[in-house]
Amino acid sequence: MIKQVLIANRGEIAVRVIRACQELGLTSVAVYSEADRATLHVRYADKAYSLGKTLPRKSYLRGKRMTDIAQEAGIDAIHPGYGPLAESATFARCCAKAGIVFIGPRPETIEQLGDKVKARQVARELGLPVVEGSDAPLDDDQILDMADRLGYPVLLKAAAGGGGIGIRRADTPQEMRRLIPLARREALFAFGDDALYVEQMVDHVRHIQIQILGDQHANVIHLGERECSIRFRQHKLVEESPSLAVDEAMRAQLCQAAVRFARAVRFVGAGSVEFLLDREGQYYFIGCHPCLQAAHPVTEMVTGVDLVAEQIRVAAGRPLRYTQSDVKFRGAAIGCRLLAVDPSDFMPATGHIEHLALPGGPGVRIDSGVFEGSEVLPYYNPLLVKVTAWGETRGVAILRERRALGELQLMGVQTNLSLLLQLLDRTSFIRGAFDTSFIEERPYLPEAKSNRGRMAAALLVALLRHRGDERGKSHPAEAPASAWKRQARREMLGGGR
Amino acid sequence: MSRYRLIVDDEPITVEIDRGNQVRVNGRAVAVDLYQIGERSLYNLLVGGISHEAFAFAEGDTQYVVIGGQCYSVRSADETPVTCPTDICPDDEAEIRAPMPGVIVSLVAQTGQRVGRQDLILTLESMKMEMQLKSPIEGVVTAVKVEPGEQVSQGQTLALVEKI
Repeated sequence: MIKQVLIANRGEIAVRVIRACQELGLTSVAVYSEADRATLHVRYADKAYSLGKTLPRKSYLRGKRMTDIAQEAGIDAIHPGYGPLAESATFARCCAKAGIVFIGPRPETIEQLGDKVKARQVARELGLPVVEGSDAPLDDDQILDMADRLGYPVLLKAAAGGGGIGIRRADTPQEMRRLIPLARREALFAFGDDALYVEQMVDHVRHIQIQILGDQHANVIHLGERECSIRFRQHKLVEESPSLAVDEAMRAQLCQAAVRFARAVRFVGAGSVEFLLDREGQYYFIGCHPCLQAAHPVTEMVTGVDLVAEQIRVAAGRPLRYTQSDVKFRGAAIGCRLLAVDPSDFMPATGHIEHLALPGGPGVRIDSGVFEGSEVLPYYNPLLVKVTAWGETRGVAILRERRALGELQLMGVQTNLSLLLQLLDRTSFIRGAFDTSFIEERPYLPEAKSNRGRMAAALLVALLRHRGDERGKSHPAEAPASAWKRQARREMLGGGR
Repeated sequence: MSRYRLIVDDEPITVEIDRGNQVRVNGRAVAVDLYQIGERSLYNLLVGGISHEAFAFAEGDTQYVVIGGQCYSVRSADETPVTCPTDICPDDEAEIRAPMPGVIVSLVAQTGQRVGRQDLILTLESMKMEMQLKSPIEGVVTAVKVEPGEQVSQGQTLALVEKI
């Protein structure tokens, strides 16, 4: 029986899990770092406990501290959200040892999935197509041999990697020699494991994930696909369900493959099985995430299933509330991620959110971790708000998403909002003609300023001066949008970037 | 009548407001209504019936207005333009500074090591982003002022490279 749930995360995902707890009548318990005392997840939760200093290593990544808090406060279960703790078998074991339910798969499953090499082996044994590459971690010489055999360019990957981190492309043996020590150091630092392997580079692919749910009674179902091809390096920007790249036959194949894989690893909870789809319509298994994904709202909108509620129920030992035939798909959903980044190069942006107006209206869902007055810090995930729209067709969903993003106002921190709006207007996006290199091939174009805008700006300033409102003239110390200012100054000086 | 001679970005715009609050832009009459939303620097501006949401703030003598995702700089025509702060350092020495607050991931170059232009000195992690900080000049690393795992603030000097 689960009565109290500690949410071992922050930001929008912590808020998402707290909402599920509240709907299920469970006590939600937030944890927070020094800098996050006043953030949304702390304010939404029923209870909150301090973790430590601001750096993730000193707060949100402290698994032991989480289980200690849970034990002291008599909490039954821990929901890790997504991210490192959600993919850590060690943390799942710590929870079990402390007598706390870990809301996620069994530790052995997480371990199997966390090691990309082992996960590939399972997929191969099931006869699923995998990208050509090594079936075991390699030493430096073996990496070079394998890369030669596969043919450059190849991808050098950390066996323990995740979230797009720990993947590097090498185009020549020289580059590979340079990258190996760097990648090992990095993998050791980021994941505590320096094992590397090599995979063939497949170009022009689309990224499809299949949502799966499993319970402790060996039931596994899928909830269809999500396409997450629109990204810039590790930053995913757009997710949608269903995918235009997946027809009925392909959907049946992918979903069946995902369910078979999930059964093979005795999957419990919510997860996603990841595939690449190339231009010839060939699919490749690339891995399985043992946790809720940031992209999950699109699936919830087209199926009506509350994935977090289901996760919590199965963690308590109850069977899934749905059989495969109970899951019905309706319409299309598209979600965009508002990130605190410079839209031209995705460099992180920080600052104080001076003004925030979130969209609403028919078919729109908001998952936000920020509020007006919140501070955006460089130490955490730059994801601020997810705006997801549902429509009876993909076209309607895109129009709604476009409308919703148009309503969104955020001042004080630079975001990728204008890039998202540009993207939704692109005919190639609307036609569904894109792959994972879409954003990198189409750099952000700062929009030309209009005469109408210039005139409005002049009128505003003149009227304020006329009214004797010297807004801002006197208080430059509280300068809100430093990034905007830098940009405006650059443009004013004709410097460009 | 009050006359405001303004420079918006690079373009001069004159706004005249007479006693009856009639407004002219560059000599042409326009219907304008400005309404402040709440207590903050957020406004709704109707220009000839067209609605604009605007956010205004200032730095020194320059005011900034954000409309439709674009930021316009506005200053008086008689004020001298703002000068750009330069952070160019002499060619024979380069300071490697943190462009963002973050955490040092790895030190690639060590004190005393010779480096070429664009050689990697260290990597910095900020949010989920890894930044590679490279040497802008060819020379020798004369100091590395940080350790892996160390938290650094924006602008902090991390390493020095000198021309030989």
